[in-house]
Amino acid sequence: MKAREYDTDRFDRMRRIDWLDMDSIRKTRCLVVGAGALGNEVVKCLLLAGFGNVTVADMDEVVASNLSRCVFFREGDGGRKKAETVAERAGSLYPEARIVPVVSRIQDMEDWNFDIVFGCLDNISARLHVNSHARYHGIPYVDGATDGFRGKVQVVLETGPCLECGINGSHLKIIDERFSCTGNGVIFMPKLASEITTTSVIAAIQVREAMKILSGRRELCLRNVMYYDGLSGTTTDLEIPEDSGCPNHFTEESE
Amino acid sequence: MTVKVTVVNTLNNSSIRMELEPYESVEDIIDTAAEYWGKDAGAYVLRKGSKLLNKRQSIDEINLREGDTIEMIPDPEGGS
Repeated sequence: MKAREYDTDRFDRMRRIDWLDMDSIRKTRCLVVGAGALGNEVVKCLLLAGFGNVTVADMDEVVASNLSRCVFFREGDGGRKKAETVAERAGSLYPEARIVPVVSRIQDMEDWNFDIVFGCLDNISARLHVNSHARYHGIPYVDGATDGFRGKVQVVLETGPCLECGINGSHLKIIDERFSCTGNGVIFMPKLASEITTTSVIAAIQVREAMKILSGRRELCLRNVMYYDGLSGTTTDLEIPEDSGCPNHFTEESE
Repeated sequence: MTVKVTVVNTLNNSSIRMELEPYESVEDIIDTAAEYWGKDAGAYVLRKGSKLLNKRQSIDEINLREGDTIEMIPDPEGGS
């Protein structure tokens, strides 16, 4: 080795974590659903971490209020499609990566040829849709959500509780309502508070969970739901019981 | 037999005492607490210790006992 040759390897410092499977990370086909605040941060972390195949799906357009939280959006992007803008700008972080934008509602996506899915959404209906499709196709799903300084992350694997196991009537009352963003044909709630530091923490945890899954360290993954309180700087893991009446589990049993 | 439990609103640490019948469900507690505190429409979950309570479970099934404390937590759903 020549002097400081290690500094020419983009991922040298990551390779020093001996259990990280950088080859698996590079090859993994990722789907990021939602290209808003969480989606921007998840894509940023994915590319910096060496993920080489990322599809970003979102139907929305950039508005000025996104600029306080979205690293890939700029003044003057107003009206551009979020997915396309993220794909275009994120490429500079890791030029070898393949980044594919999909301008579509997730409910209209038919291609589920992915190895892992990240939920970066703003409504329960879309989350449940992704949850059930990921579960059906046997794809790990890492869901993130925020509200001001609070957030949560849940990892849904092929077995065990899924997102739907944790919902109740209060979720169903607002299932089709969106908590942010732009778009057509949706009901708008008063916007939820959102800020970049909590968004960054939640997105980083989502990507870190994926790195564990892809590096054969599933035993270290969150198997419960992790709630984060940014004001106290604390996290709490809460166990979600598998719901025997959950339609996703019913499908598994009947197969 | 009814049990009296304390439900804590984790957003402001206020609490209410609730008297529950064995057949009542987790969902009944959420509805009652949300109504009491005049909460805006939103998603909430109930926590007892380190477990989230399943909506279908009755008071009997989750083994709630006299004097137990459960917490109502707002469930974040944003991300954009």
